[in-house]
Amino acid sequence: MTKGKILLCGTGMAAASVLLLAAAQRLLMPKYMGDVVEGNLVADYYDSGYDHDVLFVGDCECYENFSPVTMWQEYGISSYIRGSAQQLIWQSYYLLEDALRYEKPDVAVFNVLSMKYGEPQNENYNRMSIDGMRWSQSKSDNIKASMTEDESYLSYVFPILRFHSRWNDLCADDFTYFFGAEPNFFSGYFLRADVKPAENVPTGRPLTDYAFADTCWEYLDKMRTLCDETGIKLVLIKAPSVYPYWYPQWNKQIEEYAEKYALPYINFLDEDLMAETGVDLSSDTYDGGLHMNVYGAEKLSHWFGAYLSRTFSLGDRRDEPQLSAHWREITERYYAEIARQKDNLEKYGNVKGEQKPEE
Amino acid sequence: MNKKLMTAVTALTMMSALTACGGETSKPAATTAAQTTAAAQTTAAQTTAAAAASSDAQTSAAAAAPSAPAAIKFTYNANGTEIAINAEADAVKAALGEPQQTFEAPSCAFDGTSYTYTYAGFKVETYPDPADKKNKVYAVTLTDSTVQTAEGAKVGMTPDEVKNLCGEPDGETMGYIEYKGDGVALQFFMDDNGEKVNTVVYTYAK
Repeated sequence: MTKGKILLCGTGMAAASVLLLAAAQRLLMPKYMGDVVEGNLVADYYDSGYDHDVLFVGDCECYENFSPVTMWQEYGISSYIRGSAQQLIWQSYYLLEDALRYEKPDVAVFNVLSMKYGEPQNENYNRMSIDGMRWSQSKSDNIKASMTEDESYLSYVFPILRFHSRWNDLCADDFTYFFGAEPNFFSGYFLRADVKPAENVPTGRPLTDYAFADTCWEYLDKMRTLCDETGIKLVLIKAPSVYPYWYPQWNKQIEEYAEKYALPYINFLDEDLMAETGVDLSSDTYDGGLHMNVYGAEKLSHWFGAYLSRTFSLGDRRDEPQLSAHWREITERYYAEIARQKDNLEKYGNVKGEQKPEE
Repeated sequence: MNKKLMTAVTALTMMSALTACGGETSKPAATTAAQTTAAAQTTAAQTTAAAAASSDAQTSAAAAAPSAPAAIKFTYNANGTEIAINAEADAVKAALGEPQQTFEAPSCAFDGTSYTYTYAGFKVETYPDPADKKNKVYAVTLTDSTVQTAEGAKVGMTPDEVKNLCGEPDGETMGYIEYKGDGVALQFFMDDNGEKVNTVVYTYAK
């Protein structure tokens, strides 16, 4: 065999090995298409068209409490929620930074609940927030900031190192969604149409220290600076979720920060504002006050869309053909999903359509 | 195997468990290690924890209590039921009976649920422990003067009265007095004037 043939053969084998490993990695990574669809939220952004006036960043209090469809339908605001479960503030920062590689929104909205977490919390939530990001410096920095003690940077570069043990647990979803997940979200919004009133919500037990961690302030500073430098208006919000308890001492710190840097801060837990938005925690939440259902999210978005339009002079873009077509697709899926969940509620008593065993 | 079951298997393997998004100020110590353990290790831990739980089934909930300085008892005794931080919540609840109120906080993106059980004079907060999928006690809060600590300290006392009963604290400010054990703390929070105790808390502590 000539040297050329040996080189060609070697290169081919190396390429085949890399392809095989990449395929194995894709197969073994969780597809998040069962009960934990939230694991696909972050990757979903890269199919969003990158044409948004408003970008939300934050945890479940963002992606379950605001309906971008309502903001589009009522005000012509194109918005997206870059959120994931228990998204920590540095993860919100790096997801915002990542998004700015693709687009420049007029307004960034950050939900402040995650200020309470000053250190990495949980690998599984990390995975849901980070694995879906495309490779960039932002992702690399996000990994370094987020890793818990027992995690390794390399396992995020090569997730197969983390998920190889799933080999025996592969299921139909792993093959069905090998090439990608089905769209489960509506411009980053996770929709629920069921109702569970907020009752017996406990107030927070006292804490010995209410000060937010230095790390959180550093990342809030970084987020503010990033927005300043790129001409984006930053708005701080606290969604009207009544649990986990939002301490007045925490609220005061955010109020003072917002005042110091002339940032708008909207605390939707404020009683007067709650009345103004029309949110009724006996009917507008699906899990006892932790998150809004679609009816609550629409009320909030109705109010917040008007606020954003008015405060930042956001134009009505419903007359833009390409953008309108994009939102038409989302809107059709949105109403189909509401109808599907309502139908399931009627037939089975739950939004997923799970048949409960007969008693 | 149907789709739902396969999904559950996948999720169990992939995830050691997720607590409610923000149910607590930070994670309990027991959660820290377990949450970051690889799936295989988690399985082993589950087995161990299950065996331990089984063998301890006849003992009181206080069996799980961390070690503590001799002067302070870091468990709360509710009418004969010892409640320790990290004790199995189901055992505690079974011993205490039905609470006056229950609040449940399902986790974001998984099936763990945190609970707050309210009884006369005190509340018990729980978290789902990923190591063995069981709910564990995270905090016990004494809310009025009808109940008291093992040392006799209770709501309505002055800081000096608390210190006379419990000894010199490990931490003290105008707002609270704190005694620390191994992974657990007993905290007395004062009213706005710093004159009287208005809440007593047993909780996980770093």
